Amino acid sequence: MLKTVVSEIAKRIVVIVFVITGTFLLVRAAPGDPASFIAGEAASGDPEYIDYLRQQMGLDRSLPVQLGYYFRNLASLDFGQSYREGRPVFDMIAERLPNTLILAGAAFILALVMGTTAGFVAAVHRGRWIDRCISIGSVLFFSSPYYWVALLAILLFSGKLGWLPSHGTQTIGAGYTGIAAILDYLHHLVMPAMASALFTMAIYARLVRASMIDTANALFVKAAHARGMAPSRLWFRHVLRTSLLPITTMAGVQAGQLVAGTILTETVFAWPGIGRLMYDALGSRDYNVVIGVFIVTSVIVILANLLVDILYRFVDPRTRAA
Amino acid sequence: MAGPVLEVRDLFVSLRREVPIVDNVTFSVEAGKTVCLVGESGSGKSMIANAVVGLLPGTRLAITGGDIRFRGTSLPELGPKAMRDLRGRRISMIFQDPTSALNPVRRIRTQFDEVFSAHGVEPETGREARMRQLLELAHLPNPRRILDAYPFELSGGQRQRVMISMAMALNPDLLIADEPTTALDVTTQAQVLQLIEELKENFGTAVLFITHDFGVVAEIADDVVVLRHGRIVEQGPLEGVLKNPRNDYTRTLIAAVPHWHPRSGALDSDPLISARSLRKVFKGRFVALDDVSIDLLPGETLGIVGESGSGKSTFAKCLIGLEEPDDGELVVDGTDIMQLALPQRRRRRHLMQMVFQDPTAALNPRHTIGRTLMDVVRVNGCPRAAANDKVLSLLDDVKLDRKFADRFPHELSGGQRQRVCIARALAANPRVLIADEALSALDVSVQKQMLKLFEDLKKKRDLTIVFITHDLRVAAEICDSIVVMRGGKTLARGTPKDVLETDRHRYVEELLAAIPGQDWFSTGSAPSQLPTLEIAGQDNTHACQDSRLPPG
Repeated sequence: MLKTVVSEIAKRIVVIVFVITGTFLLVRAAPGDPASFIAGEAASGDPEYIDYLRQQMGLDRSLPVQLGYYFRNLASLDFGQSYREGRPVFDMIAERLPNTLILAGAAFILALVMGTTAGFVAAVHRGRWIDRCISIGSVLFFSSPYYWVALLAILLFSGKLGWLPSHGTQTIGAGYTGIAAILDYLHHLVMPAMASALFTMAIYARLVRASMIDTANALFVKAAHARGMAPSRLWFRHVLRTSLLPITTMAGVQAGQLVAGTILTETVFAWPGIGRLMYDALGSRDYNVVIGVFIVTSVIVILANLLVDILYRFVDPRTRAA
Repeated sequence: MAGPVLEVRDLFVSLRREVPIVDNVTFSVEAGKTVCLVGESGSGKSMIANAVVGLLPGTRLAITGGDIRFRGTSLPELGPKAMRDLRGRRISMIFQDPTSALNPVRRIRTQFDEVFSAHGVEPETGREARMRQLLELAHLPNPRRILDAYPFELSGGQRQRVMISMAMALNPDLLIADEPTTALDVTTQAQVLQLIEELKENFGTAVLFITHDFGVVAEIADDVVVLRHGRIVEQGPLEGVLKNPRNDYTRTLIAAVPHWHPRSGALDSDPLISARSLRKVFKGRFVALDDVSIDLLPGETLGIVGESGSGKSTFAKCLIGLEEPDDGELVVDGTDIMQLALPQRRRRRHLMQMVFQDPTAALNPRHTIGRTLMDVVRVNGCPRAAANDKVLSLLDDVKLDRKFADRFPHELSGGQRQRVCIARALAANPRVLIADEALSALDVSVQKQMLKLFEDLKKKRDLTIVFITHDLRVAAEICDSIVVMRGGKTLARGTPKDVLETDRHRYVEELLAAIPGQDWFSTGSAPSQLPTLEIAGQDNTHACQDSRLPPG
């Protein structure tokens, strides 16, 4: 068991190294560099000034050398300096990461709980009106572009009804402290989390429904029925439990996507997380920030998948033996 | 309590407004007796069982007439709650496939314990001991290990014993067994039949047993009900039905039990395929083939006989190249193909073709029969223009109507699907046809027809056939020579006459003893070579002596 976990982790580390190298080269391959960008902001087209900036940033050296330095620094969690703000990238990410994790985590839990519940209800009542409503709802949610849903939600809930704040993490100038500050934060969280969750939730609902209907036809369910099990016990203990296996795999993939997807949510809702940071950095060719955010996101995605793979061994005894 | 445990009267089960699937069926089961419902697939026998426990599949099937009385109570009139209370407590059921009848992701203990908790009986403290006791009654050694296990960690026979223990847990009045031994090999089948018999006697349970195999019927039935197309064609005590079957269909079913005619007279020629000292080890531990040497003569039918895990399928896979032996030679037509490069080996692959056990799983459900055959015909270099005719002639060869070319597998019966699989194997123009348990999933009467088909094809196409089976009767009837395998080794080889009669290995004795219904159908294990109907009144427990575990 421990051996497999260690070898799984080793595999992921190799993947991370590849991701870092790939990102590094990709960003450098894009036209334009931060030196010309900063020079442009300083309204200077002087080639000597640009060369000076390049030297300062180490951009004049060959790519492999730059990459080597980058890896050496990474080992001490040094993601380099932001070219634009002159601050350590690590600090900038650390500042904003909690916001992203809270948003993605909330969206993940919402999607999982609501999606599974909807799928469960639809499967139990399949063919009836409630099943149809859930099916139509899920098709609607996963076929509408999700930033569009987000914008509509802002229009309705903050514009029209005024129930929920449209952006940010706190009411500016309110100066809440303690519990009030937490409640204020949660109040701000509702809409971005819901908007991120809807798409995934719709997928879970359909997946859980299909998987449960499949399992409900299995012989072991009939056998349990023939042993006199009550319907509730059949559905919960036999059908749901077995049907959650494919959901576990899906959840791993989705968890990563939610983190990666925050770039859109955070932009629409002005949520100060790393997605928003990435968006800004991309516009200004802030290499180190872009790569830093990218690496952190990748590591989170890879870790989420690793976690699911290990979890799966516990959920499905058959994989443990293999 | 007086009167029958189960009474089925004038029962009709129908799909809405259509021809009834169960048509006017009447029979009853007494305490301590076994009634066998016999018939082929589609005869309605399982429908009757489902109707009794109130688990008719789908919402469109319903009891449209008649009554089912359990201890005098009409079951169709009971509400869901009362019915649930009966299920598992007073009426239990076991199924054909013990693998899929157990929840794959929960331990046996959890599933077993549920029987008690669902019916709110047996205080929690006593359950563990009770479960162990029940497992011991089912001759499962080390019940604690079994309770801790997940279903996939047990063998097929163990799983079925667990199912039976769970069914007997609350001492039911009626046990319904729906083909419980069809998926098991012959020795395990004998043990499970024996176990049901023992439990029936210990608990005084009434047993409703569903099967298509008259061999099994002869082994365990007190009364027989023969069904065809949902109607009873014949019913009565076992002896009467077996001795004087009044109905032609019953006679066909009885005649379909393979008879005991071991062939003698060996062929003599140079081998077409010669496997020498094959060895195959899985995961560095499990030895599937251990120094196996088998010659296959041109034009012969070679039977490879053994139980699950004996290595017979692994041998077949090595022959056709689905598995790579770790060691040994495989000489085909004078060339050791193990020494050849992959492309050269691939070019020879069409020489050997395989027919698998489960024809449903072996056919792509989304391809028509025509397309399935066409693919193989084209891959083997038949020009497009001639391919269609070739497909049709293949259907002729396996005696299927040409119109099947446009049908999908689900529109065919099991026997028809297996014919398609055979046609597909023939499409490659093989010289050797390997049938891996190709008949075990089929009804006995269909088996009979398939055996005839194999014989015909062999003559017509000059085929060499490798017949892998656990059924000694079938092997004895159609094979020119037999190899007996166990634990990856060959134990015996020779003509059926030699291996099964003249020079019998002790293990062969065990296998022979396990064949069901030998008091009625001669197997060579009984003293006489002809059907020995006169000993019918005798106690029939000796049938399983060799393989039976000592009573717990």
